[in-house]
Amino acid sequence: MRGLILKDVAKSFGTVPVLQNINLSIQTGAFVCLLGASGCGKTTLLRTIAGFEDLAAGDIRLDGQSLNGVPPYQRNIGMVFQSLALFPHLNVIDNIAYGLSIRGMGRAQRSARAQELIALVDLTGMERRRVSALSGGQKQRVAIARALAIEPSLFLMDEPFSALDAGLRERLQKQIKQLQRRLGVTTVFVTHDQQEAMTLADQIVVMRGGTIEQVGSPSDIYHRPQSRYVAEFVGQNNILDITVKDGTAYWQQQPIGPAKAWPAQTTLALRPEHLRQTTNPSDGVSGRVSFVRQLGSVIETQVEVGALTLIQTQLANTAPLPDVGEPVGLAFDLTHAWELPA
Amino acid sequence: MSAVTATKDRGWIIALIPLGTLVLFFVAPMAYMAAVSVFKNDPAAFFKPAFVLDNYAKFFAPFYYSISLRSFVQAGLGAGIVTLLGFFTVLFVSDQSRWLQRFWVILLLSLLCLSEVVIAFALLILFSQSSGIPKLLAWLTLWDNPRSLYPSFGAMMAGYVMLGFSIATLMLFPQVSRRDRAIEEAAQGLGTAPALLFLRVTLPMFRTALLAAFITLFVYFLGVFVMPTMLGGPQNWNMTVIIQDRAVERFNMPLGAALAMIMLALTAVLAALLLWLNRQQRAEDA
Amino acid sequence: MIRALLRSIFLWAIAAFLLIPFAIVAGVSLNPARQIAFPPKSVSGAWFVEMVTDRGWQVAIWNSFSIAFIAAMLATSVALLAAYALWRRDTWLSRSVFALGLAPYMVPPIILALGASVFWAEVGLYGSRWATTISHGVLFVTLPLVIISRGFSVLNREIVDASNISGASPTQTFTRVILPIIAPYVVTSFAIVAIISVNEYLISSFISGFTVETLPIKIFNNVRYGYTPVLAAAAIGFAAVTVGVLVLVSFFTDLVELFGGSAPEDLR
Repeated sequence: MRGLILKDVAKSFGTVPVLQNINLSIQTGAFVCLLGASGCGKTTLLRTIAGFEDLAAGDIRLDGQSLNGVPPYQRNIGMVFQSLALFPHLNVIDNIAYGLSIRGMGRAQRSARAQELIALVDLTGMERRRVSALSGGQKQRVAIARALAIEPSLFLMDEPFSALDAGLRERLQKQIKQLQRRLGVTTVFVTHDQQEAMTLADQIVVMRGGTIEQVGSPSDIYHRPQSRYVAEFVGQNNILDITVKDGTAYWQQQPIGPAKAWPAQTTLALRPEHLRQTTNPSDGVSGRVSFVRQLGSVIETQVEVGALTLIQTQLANTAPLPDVGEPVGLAFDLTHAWELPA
Repeated sequence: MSAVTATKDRGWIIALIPLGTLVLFFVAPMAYMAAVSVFKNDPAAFFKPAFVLDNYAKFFAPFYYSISLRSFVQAGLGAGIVTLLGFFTVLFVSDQSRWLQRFWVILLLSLLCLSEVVIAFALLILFSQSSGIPKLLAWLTLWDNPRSLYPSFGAMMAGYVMLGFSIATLMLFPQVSRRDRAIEEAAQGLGTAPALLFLRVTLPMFRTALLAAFITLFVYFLGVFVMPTMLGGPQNWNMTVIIQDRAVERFNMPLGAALAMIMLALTAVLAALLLWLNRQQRAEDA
Repeated sequence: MIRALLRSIFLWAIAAFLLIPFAIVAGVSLNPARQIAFPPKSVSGAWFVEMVTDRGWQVAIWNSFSIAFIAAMLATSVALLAAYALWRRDTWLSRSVFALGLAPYMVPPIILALGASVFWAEVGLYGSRWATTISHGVLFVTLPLVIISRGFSVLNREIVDASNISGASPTQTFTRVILPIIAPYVVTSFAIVAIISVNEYLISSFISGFTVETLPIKIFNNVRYGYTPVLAAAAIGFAAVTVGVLVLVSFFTDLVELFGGSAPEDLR
């Protein structure tokens, strides 16, 4: 069986469980993102796959072979660390060739392979530079090249771009995605940034409190969240606890639109772009503007309805900016509502 | 589900090598000295295994009392002077440029490493009639009848200061140079006068560090041998000199060992007492 | 302004107190007269020549340097292992080894010296240069331990993980990554122990003072029996070597940072 398979993986630090019931199957060549808030266990899971942490229970198999008890240095895994962890005493090419030299590869062969990677990550001409003399993006690419030089069966990345500024991060995300496609190496990428996960992943694994909350394609995760947590964590969402009577959905005892085939009581997730400001109160609910901000092409408005807050977005320049404190009506487009499983 | 085999960490074995070395060549000699202190003196060999307390009993004589007292007074005085001078030096040096700081660190490190014997010899020359201060004073016609300034208590104390200065300053340097300078500025902003600022803010900030330096120096000065013998007279000799005399010059190892044990115990008690006082004080402050 | 001036005067006074004795010794050592005298009437290197050509001084120099070299190797190795063990894993074992390594610094040297001498007498190596060497190597472990630990404290653990995942076993990681990164601290430790050992009097004199005459022992003994300008030459040669080694060390290790200093933001 090819690919990476995690079966019933569990792990605890002392008496505190940090990973529970992790079951995951990753196909060869896939790009998987572990997504979650800090402390959800995503980095621990990655380090467990790498072999830096022991399992309390379960099995990790890579291409059919169990990794239990195999030390990290015998796993043939490439990894990019959060701090990058470049060897400060080696120059660029020696950093990249480190794993090859450990594997006993001859000098000429080693240097040829390292050159190949230097070209691949666009660092030609920097071979003899000290790593401390490189820019953030260059260091990043050395770390990636070093991890890939050993032709790993598995490529792991632990929030490698979190310290970079937004523009550089986007460029590197694009590059790493293209590189991964080209090399076809199975990749697991840890991030807390859902946009990054959306950009990179074939498959996103949302984690929470040491367990897997949902596994799916970026579109699955975004459009068909399986829990309230995922709905709220990935992008912005309005969570509506509704009742259904005679084909009409009611929220906070007010009718908000025609219901689909929903049970009498259920929970909906509705993206902010599917709410509309209105002056006609019979159209939906009325509330008061509590916060407004302009996000480039979009205006985001938060509206207090009773004790609850809804988020609404609209394209800029389609309507005047509302003032904080102003009363406003909100209409719902329930055709885009997603019913959360109970 | 397959069995989980945790990779056993055998790294602790690394710690056994330094442990073994230290136990064999540091702890064992200390323990053996403790044993020798109850042995019988044997002029033919070094000592004969026995269990006698004579060696300890000999300590309870006015001679050893006065020597002990003198050792403590000298060590305490030296430690006090050096801690104070060292503290001001470090305080001022830490505000100097990196270049000057490097000069001071190298100067202090050199002194730290330099042999007691060489330091004592340098002071010997400084205080000698033929080439040092007395000669200078005579040349300036300030002293009609110059003679050497050693052996004397003052010369010996100068030796203590020069010897301990590097230890005190290098101990205090990290804390003082990394102090949060904003605290002093804040106090100044609140209207504290400079003199008061030092007493009320700067000094209390470093009380523990100063105490640690004082204790270290105190213990170190109790064990000083070269300064009293080269720069002081017999009336300045401390316990260390007496121990050396009994153990090496008079071949009475058991007596030397017993005296050393007593000294070790007294040192430990004093250090513990000072630490305890400091903790009491801190508890009161809190 | 006045406060800054007073501070400078204080610092220069202290520096003068620490340096003038050596200036005088240097002067004495350059005076060709047989009597010790300062200031020198003329300048000559005769006493330095006598020191390095005299058989007695040569033996003392050889004794001191050979003992120091091996003692420094020993102390540095022990300290490296202890610091590495503690850095690897913080257990009661590694912590007690570290604490034990700090202990010799807190015991008065006379007690260390006496303990070592009864121990070596029992072992049968009393008076041997090996006894002095080993005692120096073990008892001077504290400074290297502190210095090398400081080196480990700046070593990022992910660097070790990175080496590990690249295929390097723990041993390979130690020799190819950890050791090269820690090297400046190890070299500094080696230099400092070597200097301390060369300069040490009390322990050497207790263990093998009668048989193995080191430089400090020779100087001490000579002072007792009346001193000559050769002594001044030896003392100043000593000081010069000490300072020279430290200046050399300062070229590849930031000593100010190593000893915990941090320069203020506004450098004057």
